[in-house]
Amino acid sequence: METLALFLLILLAGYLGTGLVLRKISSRNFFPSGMEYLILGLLLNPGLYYFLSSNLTFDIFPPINNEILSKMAPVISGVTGLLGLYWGMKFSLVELLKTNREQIRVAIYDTVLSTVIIGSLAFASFYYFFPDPGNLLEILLASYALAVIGSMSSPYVLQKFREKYNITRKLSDSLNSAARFSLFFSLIMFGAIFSFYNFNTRPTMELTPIEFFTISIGIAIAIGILFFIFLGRESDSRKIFVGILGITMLGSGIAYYLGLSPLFLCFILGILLGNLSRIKEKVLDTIEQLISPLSIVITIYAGIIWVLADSTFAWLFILSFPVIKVIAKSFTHKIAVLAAFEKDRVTRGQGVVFLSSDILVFALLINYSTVFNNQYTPIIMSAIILNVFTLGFSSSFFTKRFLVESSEISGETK
Amino acid sequence: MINTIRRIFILVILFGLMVLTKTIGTSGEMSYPRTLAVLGFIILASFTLGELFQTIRLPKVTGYIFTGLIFGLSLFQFTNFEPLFLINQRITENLSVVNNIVLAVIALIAGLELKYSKLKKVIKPGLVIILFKFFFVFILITGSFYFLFPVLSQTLTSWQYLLAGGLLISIIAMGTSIELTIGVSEELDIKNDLVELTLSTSILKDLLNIILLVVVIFLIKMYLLPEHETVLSNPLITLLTDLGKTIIAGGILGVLTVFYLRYIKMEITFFLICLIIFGGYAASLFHLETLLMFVIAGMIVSNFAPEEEFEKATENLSLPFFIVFFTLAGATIDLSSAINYLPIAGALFLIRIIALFISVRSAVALVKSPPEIKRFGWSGFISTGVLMLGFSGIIASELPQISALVSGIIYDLILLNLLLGPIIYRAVLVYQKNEAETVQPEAVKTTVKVEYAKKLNEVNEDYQIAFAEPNFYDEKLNKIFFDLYFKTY
Repeated sequence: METLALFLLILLAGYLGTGLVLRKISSRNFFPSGMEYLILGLLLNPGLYYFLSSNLTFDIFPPINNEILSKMAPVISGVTGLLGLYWGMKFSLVELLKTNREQIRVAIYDTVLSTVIIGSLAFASFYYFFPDPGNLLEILLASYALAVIGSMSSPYVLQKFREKYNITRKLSDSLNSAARFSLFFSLIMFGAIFSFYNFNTRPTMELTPIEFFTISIGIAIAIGILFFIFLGRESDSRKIFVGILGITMLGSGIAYYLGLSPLFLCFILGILLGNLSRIKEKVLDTIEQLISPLSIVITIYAGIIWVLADSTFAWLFILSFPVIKVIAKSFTHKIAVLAAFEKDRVTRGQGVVFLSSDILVFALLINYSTVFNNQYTPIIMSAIILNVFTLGFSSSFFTKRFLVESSEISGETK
Repeated sequence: MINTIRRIFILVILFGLMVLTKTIGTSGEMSYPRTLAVLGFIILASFTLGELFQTIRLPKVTGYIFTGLIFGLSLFQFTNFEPLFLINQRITENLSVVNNIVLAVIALIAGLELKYSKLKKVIKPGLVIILFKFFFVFILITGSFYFLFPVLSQTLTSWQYLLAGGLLISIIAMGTSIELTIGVSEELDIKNDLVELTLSTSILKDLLNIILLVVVIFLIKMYLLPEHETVLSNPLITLLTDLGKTIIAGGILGVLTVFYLRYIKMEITFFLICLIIFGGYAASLFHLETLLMFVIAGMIVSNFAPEEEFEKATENLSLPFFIVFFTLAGATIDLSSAINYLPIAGALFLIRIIALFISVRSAVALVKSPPEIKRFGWSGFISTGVLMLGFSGIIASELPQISALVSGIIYDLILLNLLLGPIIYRAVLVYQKNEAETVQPEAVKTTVKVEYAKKLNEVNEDYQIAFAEPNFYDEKLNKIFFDLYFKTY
């Protein structure tokens, strides 16, 4: 009770304190909304208090300690599960099939090629330059996770500009759609990492990663079927709420227990529901009421659990990560433009649109750090958080400039 | 039929998923490894079983408790069947936070019902009935427990414990479920004076029951349990101070909520969760009465803020918490003790019905309600509410020595009232409806007779007017007669 009360009180105080003031700044500058909560999370980080205590003559006790964080872990897994369900429900297979092929191609290039480039660089750095590299599988998984989470794109900034300047032209429409699909593909790629967890850490379990991945998809489908039968064509909002809560808890709980990603499992479940359920809109309406506060919870929690890397090499890598991402995105989209069949849907320099990240990356980080806790985890966390900060702030400027240069924003547009 | 099969299928899939998870997973170094999955399982399985129970016209709540019985310690003690034992002691402990949340939610909902405009209409009959109920229930139940317990349980217990136990069971016996009353009347589509009366008193009862519980626990601690006797020099002032502190805290919570709902108005659900959890924590920290505090807060909100969205959020949030609460209650029932105490609980159940019958009949006679309320009014008060299970939890934490004596009986009594209360109420409503329909033709005949007699009288009067004895001295009439006689012949 104490844990939960304290945590929620801090969240509410943070929400009211930082949110109301900084939300206005975020809407003017278009950096991803939620950055203020990350700052709040960093201010509550136990590490900060230990650092201050060790450098000051008196002790400062952290408001949230490691015990509280450990108790909150399953709750947070449930929250990430709900976020996964929400994004899964937004992923329309019909839209995927109807969308112009060029947009899908750009999305695939953005997801796969960026991941390969960032992952390769990360692997090389960890393997050759890290003082005590550990086993190969650990390095592989860490590089892969960093690449997938780091390269994840968000259409948030572009959408905001499209709304503000009322842009409906082909290029921005195409890039917006590509960024959305890229985000979905990244989520699917992220889920695959967790199949290796049991293989790596629980040798008694006689299942290969492929078998485990299949099982996780199977469980998601089984829960999806369960949800169908449970809700049917229900119109009672209370029953829908109970159904969503129960299914998310069950899915996230099973994923948490099996060492899978709650976000990924619920994402698959969401895809099933979003594409097949007749009460999709009602379910989405109910989830949307919760998404905003839960995103805040996730962002603050990500700030709280951030552990700083302790080696100089690690910091060199972390500080250079935003540059790596910019290079990777730039190269990827050069290839995408060269390989495009419909040239009017792509343009040079479009990589800047894919630089910004969504709050969702914090949920991925939390999922990853809950299951994989090794020497690379602090590096991944620091690199991603720094990446969100730096590129989050700068991407709105670059995206706007790109839209002006590509004549998407002109005198004609509002 | 299809719905029943659908629900059974849901339970099978759920159980299969849990077995699969248990088989292929290992807890590793995680904190609370299975709690989240079991929580999801509880919500879905209990809800489904509740719906199944509803199809056989039993309250959903019994379905929730039954889920706890099947998948908890209760059944495992008898069968030792491991796969069914999903809600173990560790999970119950991990989810114990739900108990506090549920109490806060119940109290908040009760408080939100206490609108001045509503209270104004029902305060007189409501208070009279509750007063009579209080009088008869306390005397009959406490007395019966005092004399029956040693005989039926074959144990020697001190008079203080017997009296304390009797008083606590009397409080449980005072409870009435507004939800079950609404459920039965809606199912039968009946909305008459009897239903109105039951509902109107239910608005008040939660607040009064909570105050009663606080006072009784305090009195037991002060005067019946020797270990507490010498702690306080002035018990009345202490009690009033405690209540005052709780009321002030509830007021502060209420004012904060009003402020939030008026000026901030964002993320109401999130705010509600924070309010409940933080309020509950503050109550335990400062030794305040959680229930009373939230009732006061709810009352302030309902009278001073635009509360529709807040009320809706509270209702939405309450259902999953209720489900988990009842399931955990079922999972922790000690079946052997519940079976042992069944005879005494059965006797108290019957005595409670008698007490309700006398009290409602007397109260209704005083407030001059229609005759059918005098005859059947008692039936609406039998089913016990959610709050009473919460009360049993409070008794267990406040008076553990008495709780050991009465918890089994309280569980049995609540279960009997939950199971049989709606059935009796339903039967009475159906009987009343049928009676009204059979009495109606007689009434119709009587009405017709009266109408005929009325018409006959009117005709008779017309006849008498038409054929009345003529005035032979009337000149006009004599002239007519003269003309008729002499001019015709």
